Amino acid sequence: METMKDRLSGLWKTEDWWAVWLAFILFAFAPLVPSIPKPSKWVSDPLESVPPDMFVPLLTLMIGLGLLTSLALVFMKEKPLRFLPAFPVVFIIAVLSFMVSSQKTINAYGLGYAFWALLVGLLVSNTIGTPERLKAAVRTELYIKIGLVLLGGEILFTKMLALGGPGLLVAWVVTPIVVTFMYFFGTRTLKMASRKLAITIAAATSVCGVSAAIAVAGACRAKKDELTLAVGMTLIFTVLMMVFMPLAIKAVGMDVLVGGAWMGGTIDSTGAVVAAGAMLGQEAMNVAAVVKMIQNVMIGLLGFVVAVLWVTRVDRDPHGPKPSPMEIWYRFPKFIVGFVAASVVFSFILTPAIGDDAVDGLLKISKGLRSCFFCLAFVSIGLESSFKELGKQMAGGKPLILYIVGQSFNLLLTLIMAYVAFGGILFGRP
Amino acid sequence: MKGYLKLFGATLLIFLLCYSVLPRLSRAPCLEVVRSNMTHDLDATAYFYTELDDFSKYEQAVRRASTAEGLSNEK
Repeated sequence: METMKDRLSGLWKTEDWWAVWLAFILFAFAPLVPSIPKPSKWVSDPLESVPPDMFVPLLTLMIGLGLLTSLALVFMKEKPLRFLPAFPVVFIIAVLSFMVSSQKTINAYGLGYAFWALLVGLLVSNTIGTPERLKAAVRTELYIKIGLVLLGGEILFTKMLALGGPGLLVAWVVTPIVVTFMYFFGTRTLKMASRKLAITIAAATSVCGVSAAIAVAGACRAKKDELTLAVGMTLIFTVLMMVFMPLAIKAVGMDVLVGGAWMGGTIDSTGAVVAAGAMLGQEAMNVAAVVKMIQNVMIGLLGFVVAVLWVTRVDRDPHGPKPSPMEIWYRFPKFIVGFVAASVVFSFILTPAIGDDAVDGLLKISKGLRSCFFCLAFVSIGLESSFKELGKQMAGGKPLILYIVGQSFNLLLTLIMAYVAFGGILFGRP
Repeated sequence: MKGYLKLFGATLLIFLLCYSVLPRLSRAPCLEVVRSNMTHDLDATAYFYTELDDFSKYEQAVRRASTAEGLSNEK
């Protein structure tokens, strides 16, 4: 039986809590960091992407993140001395993924760093195999959890709520309905063996792709292969939707604002939403982007709700006693607490205290760091995954069916809501 | 050795796809969005943090839509 002392020591011994501490350390030091180096756009010469003056900032970032992560490993009584020499290799693969995704044509297709990080990791692990020494730096969960807490800071409730009815209606009414529909369709109609996979695909489809998939997979403690599958499908379909939705909207002569709201509510990646919105003009792009931003707030709420449901219902022994509040708290993924805390601190404490401009400055740094951690996570997932295992997860094509049916439902429902909200039906026109 | 050959082959294939197929494919009429992305070099992050910072453009767009002909409830 665990004592209170054991539970308190979890604050500095468990990965969940360390993810929270490390993210808040990074938030605290963010004002002192001028910028986070990121490979710039290039056309034919990859070296244009990382000019010589970027080497020192990249090296500093690598050393800083490596040392910070190994600090957590020291407290968690793991092996930082094995982690430190392996970390630069994972970091370099992450930088290469950023570089490839910064190529102008590739970038225009919407193939971002997550795609390349996964692909490079998968290629290495499925051809030469991930070297044993490298595995010490393959810390998928830790990178994801730190990245998620950093993401929490970017979810500003106050800004989103100030946007008014139409966007909120499109983003917030459809999303919970689609998530619920997809979860029950996957588990009851398709009878998918893994509920975690069903909810992860549902989150990726209905909220905002990669980030939502990561948050929900973390909240229900899904397997890495399940996350890889959900993210892989969402990355491919995002490109298809980015290409074909503006064409369809133009072809049928749909009102551009309704079209913008429709794309904002359905295309998974934020970058792809902006790109597709731009095809319909500046106004449609603004509406698409804002609907997407409002929808992004759902990541935190969904992650929290899924974590609670998993602890209290799904993972609970149906014949066992009802878990006590203490037991629920004990089993609750603590980085979700950090995620929500970061969002609350930025929305309700920092924004009123230091102002929008200062918060935006902080978020530029934390966003850069968050991308680094997510990229490290995807490299790690790739290095740990095998095509055979991914094939098993695809069992009978059920995940793909779930994605396609769910996305079709999402498209239909969002279109109706976009018409109701932006087509002059529900909201009075001045 | 076989693994390294596979890795080399896969990398070469991806390189050829990115270097040769993707640019040619982007000329297809249906891939207008890709060409537009290349021309405008849209940076979603910069867009969110600068262009849409105070959301005034969004509000303007909604307001303009509200008064647009054919969208009004007041028929």
